Amino acid sequence: MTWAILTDVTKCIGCEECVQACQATRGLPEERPWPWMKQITDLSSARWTTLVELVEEGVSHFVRRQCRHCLDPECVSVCIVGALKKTDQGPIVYDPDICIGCRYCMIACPWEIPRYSWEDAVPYIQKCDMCYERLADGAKAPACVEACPTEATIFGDREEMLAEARHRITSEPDKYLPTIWGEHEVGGTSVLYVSDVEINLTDLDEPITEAAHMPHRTTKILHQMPFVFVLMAGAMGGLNWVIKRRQMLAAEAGASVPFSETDADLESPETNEEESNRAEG
Amino acid sequence: MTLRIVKTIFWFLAGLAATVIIARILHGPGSVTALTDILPWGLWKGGGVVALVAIGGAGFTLAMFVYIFQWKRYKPLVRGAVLLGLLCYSSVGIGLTFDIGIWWRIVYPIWHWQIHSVLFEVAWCIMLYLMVLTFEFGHTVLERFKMERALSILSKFTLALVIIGISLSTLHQSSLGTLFLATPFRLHPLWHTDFLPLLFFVTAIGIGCLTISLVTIFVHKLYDAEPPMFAISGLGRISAFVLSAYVFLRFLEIFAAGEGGFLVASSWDTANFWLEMLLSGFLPIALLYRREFRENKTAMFWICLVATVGISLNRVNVAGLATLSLTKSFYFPVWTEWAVTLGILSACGLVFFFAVERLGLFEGVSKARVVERYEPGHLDHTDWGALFFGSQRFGEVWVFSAAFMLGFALCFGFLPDRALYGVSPTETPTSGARRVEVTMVPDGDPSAGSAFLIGLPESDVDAVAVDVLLLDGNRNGDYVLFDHDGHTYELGEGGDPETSCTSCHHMNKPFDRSTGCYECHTDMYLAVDIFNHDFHEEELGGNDRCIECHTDPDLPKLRENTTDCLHCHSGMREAASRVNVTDPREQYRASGYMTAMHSLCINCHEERQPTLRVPNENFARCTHCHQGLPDLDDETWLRTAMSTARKAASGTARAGAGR
Repeated sequence: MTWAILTDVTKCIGCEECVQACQATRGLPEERPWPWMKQITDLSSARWTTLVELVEEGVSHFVRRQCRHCLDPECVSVCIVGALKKTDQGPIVYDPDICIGCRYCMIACPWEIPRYSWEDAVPYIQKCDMCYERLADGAKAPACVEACPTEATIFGDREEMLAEARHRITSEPDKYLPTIWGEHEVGGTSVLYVSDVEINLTDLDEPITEAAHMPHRTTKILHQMPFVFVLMAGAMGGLNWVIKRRQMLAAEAGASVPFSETDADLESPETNEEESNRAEG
Repeated sequence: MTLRIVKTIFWFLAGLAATVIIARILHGPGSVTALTDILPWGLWKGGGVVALVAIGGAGFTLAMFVYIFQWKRYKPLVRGAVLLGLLCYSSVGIGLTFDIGIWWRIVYPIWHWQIHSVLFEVAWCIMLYLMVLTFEFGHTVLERFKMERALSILSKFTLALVIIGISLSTLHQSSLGTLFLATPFRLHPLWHTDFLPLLFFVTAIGIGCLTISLVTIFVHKLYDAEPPMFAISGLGRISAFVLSAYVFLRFLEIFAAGEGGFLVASSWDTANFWLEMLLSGFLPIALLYRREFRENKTAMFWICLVATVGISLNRVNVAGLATLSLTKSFYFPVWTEWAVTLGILSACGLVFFFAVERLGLFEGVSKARVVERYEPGHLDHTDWGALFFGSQRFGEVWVFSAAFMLGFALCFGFLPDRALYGVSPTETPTSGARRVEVTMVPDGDPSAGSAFLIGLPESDVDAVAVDVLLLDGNRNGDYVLFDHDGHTYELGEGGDPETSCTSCHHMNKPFDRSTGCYECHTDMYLAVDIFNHDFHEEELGGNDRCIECHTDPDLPKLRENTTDCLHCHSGMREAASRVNVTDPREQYRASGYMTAMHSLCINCHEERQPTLRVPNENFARCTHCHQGLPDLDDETWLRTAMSTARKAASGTARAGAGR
């Protein structure tokens, strides 16, 4: 079973009960206008979920932003010590006890989700973990979902949520756009959206639509590295052996030693230069 | 003399860095950097790590040339290059320690393994390569102390160490490029390419050749020695080829990916790209292909400098600058960030000078001047250090210490508040009083409509102006008329208004707030029962007087069993008071603020409604008083507010006159 949250943009009234429930349940600090924030409603150490207002033709739509809990998460893949982990049920959880604060997850996350408590002398990564511990302790749903007065955001198995999303789209095709945000992007996410307007879940100009898994970009090269190491070491060792052998043979034969330009060769460096210049020309 | 100035500057910069690092340890990286959540990697990562590793590539490049390819021509430079590599990587380690959020966890990657992380690979490669470099440099140290046996043992491993070092460098130099493959949506397409690892590796070789040349020429200049130009010009030639290959690959990739359009776009990124290519590619290549420049030390110095700046710009771009436009963020390193990066580099520079002077890093230098200058018996009486301090050594120690302390102290003096006390939230506009000027117009003026106008400075109506404040003191959106003079008079000590300001203002509260109404009027949200138990207990004389109110000691001490207030305060409710308490349980108790206010206002309003001169059906409704302060141009609202204001103003005026 993979846990998932389905948010219906058409039902959200923008009351921010989810934000407040999150802050109260997780004991987040008071919201402050820190110098690094563009606006106080940005995701921050005090807001693990927030509402982004989207005004289209004079009508407000609210898009809830939170960790997307990607099925194949880049943040987990890049974390240097494994402080971010993907649990079996889907939520990506954070272990503050081993995080060193390199902040690679922050630049690697395609959704720009992880935030940092820059205000603290010992700062930590700040992001939604889908109330993993509460759910593991038997809670029915994450705090934000429980708090929603209009059932705009619901919680359940990912397959069921996808079925529910499809059901909503097919039963009211005039109202909903035929897209389930989060079904395929970057390999699929556990936080899904249906909407009546085009939504962009990042601050980038272009919404992310690519379905390619993120971690493959780095790991496909990373996993070649042992071979590169061996190859390079072998090449260097081999080259050195060949060169030394040639030098030895040349010395025995009494000819000029190849590859050994020293100060003694200073007398005739021009020949080399001219050769190379000719080759370039 | 130049050497002394350079060293003094280096010591000064090191002093700056020391102070900033202390502030960073005390208050975290957020207090001394301009980093944001959207741009979390700045100068310390882009410059102090990613660029510096490339500069440190001199170590493996020269080791490869000399020990693998047996190019004896570069032998005079190889020790310097290995030390340069060692110092660059040490700087990377130190810089990274203070860049990461929790600095003492810099060692965690040693035992917390995460083999899918590129950063983990880079960390291990750098750690191992630092060890390799230490051993490689060990030759120089062992030679200096003439430890022949250890030297002969170490020499047996030289080739193996060099090969491991080259392989490790190949890995982490390219992997630093791989790091940024993870940011396809942030990094501008001119920089983001699948070839980043290859490009990073190639440029590391090119820049390695040039940085060691740069350092060698600079050091030889400082020590008045002749740099080994034969080797340097050779490196120049190699790097010309390597950089040409780099430029070719770079453009090939851009055109192959169909991103050529960005090259001519009129954007900040395009300008940045061309500047970077000019500094790191076109300019150095064009000049390095000309032999007279390669063999001229001044020309080489400037070429190498330009290329080093250019390649560093490339690294900084990939790590952060070229992500600004797509992520719509802004970042420019603040001076504290520059201080740390430059300070750490300066400290490494000082170590380099030390090695040049004491370990015989460059053959030309060690013999020429340094050794004899530091001979114990040598005393140069023309030197001011010798003149004032007995020897130039003490003079230098004094000057350098002073420079360091000056840097340390000056930096401390100029540190911004956020570095000294930790970050504080940005100042926001105060939600203070909104001031409405009320002008009382003589009755019968038809143009004024009703009796009031908002104060219009330009209007020449002959009127009696009264200032009225409308305050949202509790910041809940409800504005009330506020008698400012009355408060200053009442709160001032002995009626002195001057002493009363700090009761409400200058409290240093978040958002620059002033005291809320409820902080003094603690009962204002209580409907009933403003009884103050502590006060009564104290006034009556403590514990033994409980019986005054809790008359039956056998009964539990509940409100139901307690005497009424009227029992003692017989005059507390005037006869025919408007404060009309309807709840029978509260009949003989003190009314709370809300009940009192409601009773005082509502009863009167209800009475007056039928007799109003201008009919107003809302006059006795809740919304008549409970209103926010909406648009000041909303005339209906204003008229209502102003008519309320008139009464209050005239009341204040009367009270003022009565004093």
